[in-house]
Amino acid sequence: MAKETDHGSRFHGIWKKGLKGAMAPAALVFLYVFFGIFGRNYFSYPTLVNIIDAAYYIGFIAMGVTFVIISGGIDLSIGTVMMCAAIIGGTALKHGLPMVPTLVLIIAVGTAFGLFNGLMVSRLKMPPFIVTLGTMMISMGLGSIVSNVSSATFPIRDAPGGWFKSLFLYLTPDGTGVPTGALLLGIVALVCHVVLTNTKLGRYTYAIGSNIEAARLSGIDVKTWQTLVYVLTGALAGIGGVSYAAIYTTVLPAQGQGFELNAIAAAVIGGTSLSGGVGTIWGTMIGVFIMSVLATGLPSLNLEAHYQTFFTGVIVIGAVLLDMYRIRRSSEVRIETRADAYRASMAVRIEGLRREMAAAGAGGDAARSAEFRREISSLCAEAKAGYRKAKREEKSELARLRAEERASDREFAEMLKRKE
Amino acid sequence: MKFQGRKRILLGMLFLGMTAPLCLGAQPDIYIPVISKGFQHQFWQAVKQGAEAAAKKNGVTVTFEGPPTEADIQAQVQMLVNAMAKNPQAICLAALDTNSVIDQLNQAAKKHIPIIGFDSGVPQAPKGSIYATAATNSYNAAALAADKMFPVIKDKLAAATASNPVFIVDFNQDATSQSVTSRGKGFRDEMVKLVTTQLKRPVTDIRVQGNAAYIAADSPTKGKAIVIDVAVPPSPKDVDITATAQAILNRVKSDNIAGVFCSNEGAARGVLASTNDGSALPTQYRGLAVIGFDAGKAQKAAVKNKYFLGAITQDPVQIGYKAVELAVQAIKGQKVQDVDTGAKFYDASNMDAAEFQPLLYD
Repeated sequence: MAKETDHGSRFHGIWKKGLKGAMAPAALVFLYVFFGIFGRNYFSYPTLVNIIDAAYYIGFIAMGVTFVIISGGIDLSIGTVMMCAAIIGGTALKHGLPMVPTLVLIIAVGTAFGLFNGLMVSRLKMPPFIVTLGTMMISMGLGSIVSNVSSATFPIRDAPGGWFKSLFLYLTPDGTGVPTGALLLGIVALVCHVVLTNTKLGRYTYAIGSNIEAARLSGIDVKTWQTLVYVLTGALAGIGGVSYAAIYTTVLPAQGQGFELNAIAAAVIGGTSLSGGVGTIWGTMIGVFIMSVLATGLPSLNLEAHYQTFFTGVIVIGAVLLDMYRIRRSSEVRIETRADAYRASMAVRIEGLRREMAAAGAGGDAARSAEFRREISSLCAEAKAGYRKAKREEKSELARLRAEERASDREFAEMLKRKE
Repeated sequence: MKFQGRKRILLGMLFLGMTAPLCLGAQPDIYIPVISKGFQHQFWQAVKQGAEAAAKKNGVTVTFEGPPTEADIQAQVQMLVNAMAKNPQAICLAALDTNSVIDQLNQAAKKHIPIIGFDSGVPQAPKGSIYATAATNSYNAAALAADKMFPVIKDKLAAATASNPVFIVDFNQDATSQSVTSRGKGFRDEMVKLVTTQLKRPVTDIRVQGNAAYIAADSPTKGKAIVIDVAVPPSPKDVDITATAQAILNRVKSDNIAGVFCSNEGAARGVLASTNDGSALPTQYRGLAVIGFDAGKAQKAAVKNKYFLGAITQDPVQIGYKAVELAVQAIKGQKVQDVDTGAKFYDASNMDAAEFQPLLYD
């Protein structure tokens, strides 16, 4: 008996503490198994490769936006910046730039946009929402201007420069795909995780997101670190652009709107709080893969793309609700009432009896332990009844107080009227 | 106690989950995903209708999907990739961009999954991946336009002389798109053929002039009586098309233009835009025979009001039907080849018939 209570309370503890930690991975596993059972040929190697492939470009920008959101900001421009970087790279490639400098250029363009966002937000104190909304349009326009509104095609496999596709998906001679990009995504995720948890930049990101004024007053150079967060996000958008070019080959101008929302959704599903100061890279990656599993799983049930959008929406709302509930629970101010105190004291008594009973049971005294059991159950009943009674009293007390308040309010209002 | 109840539910769900695939997997069916270039547009809905009809007839399962717009390459690639992971027996594909799907095409070729192109198909696909394509033969479709225009302008052409030549304008939106150029050439060649066979006029009476891309090596270029003038705007933008259309219309009287063939909806819209939605055609340009291509609200109204002689429409229902049929044949190991899904001519008299309803989109 004692064991079960023990187990129960531990379970309760995990449930309370690790809700955010356990919920998203559980949802991911559940979805994967669900589609595996009901989907067509879902538990298969090609599908696994597809899930990973579909995770790249959202994955990179989602990690970036996680940093920004933890720092208390938002970046709406990552999607279009990613595509802008990719199309600028593709256009340069068209004009004869070799592959390696092109890839560097793509990441540099992303970083430059990040720097711009960062400076605007940290130095000029503009709201991140507005700044990045502007950058979103600027990057869309710039991509079109530079590419002269024509599409840019990256080299296909086996063409000169086509090797960069193998960075993300290596095709064996018999046509089987090896998702080499998973390694890259994993490395970048690991680096981001280490940066976020073990470096100054990471600690300050949390500090700024929790309370920017407190961070400033405690001597953190908020401007620099805030800028750096956006720069990092921009660089990640650049890497996302490279992955997009590798997987989808052709890049059209003025694309990428909506990707940022997918990335933000992934971060939110993974437990990043939009109010700042809370979030992990690990959680975001889970969020990314949940979306990726949805993107590949729903078609395996023969459901078209619009269902996917629908269900992603449902999951985002669910995740945010959970997030809000968690925050409310953790920041709730609880006043210990008489009823609570009574219940706690009763619980201590019952627990003591239980321990004694367990000891008696171990000693082999069957009659005594039976007696204890009776006593415990009667005490339990008493505790329940007493708690209910106390609670009822509390409620009626509260009602009385409210009524008094209302009455005095009315009195006060009448008094004011009379004065007029 | 509480835990046992929960466990029971869990066990039940697990059991259900394990048995469900047994029931679902019991029917070994032929599955063919159809991936188009669009979805919402009426044209694609008509393709879908045809694909589903063919699926029903052949007892196969099809799914039909397409990206929201023709710019959503990424979405289409995702659809193709997802479809391939489902181990389909064949795939029908109208690719937005061949370069983006080369890996998938190669993979399909290696796994011997037949891919059937439809509509515009998959141009420049790697060898061996596309088994056949079901599409409108643009050349033949435009020839149909010449066949319909010829009886109306026959007398004028017969009376044409070197001192009083007659013009026929072949109006094309551009000189690069494959479908548009094939249409322009189809109209040109059929018109030359009709003049020489039906009117028995020598080919030396005919002259093809205008955009160089449309003048073939064997096209007559020396004739003086009948001129086939190929007009192409400087760019396929609406403003340029309209300006070119206006320039053509200004020459109707002076050059004695008998007919205009607009080889796509854009060209037809250009003519309509410079004639006050076509209402100026019967008044200012009496006797001018105009034939359009495809549908669209403005063009349909022009046909209905008899401003246009009529227009050619593709047959999206047939495109979808034939694509799935080709796929089924390919799965069975039969030899398949490209299919012309045909084109139809509609005018004020027949455009309300039931058979045209799925074809004439707004």
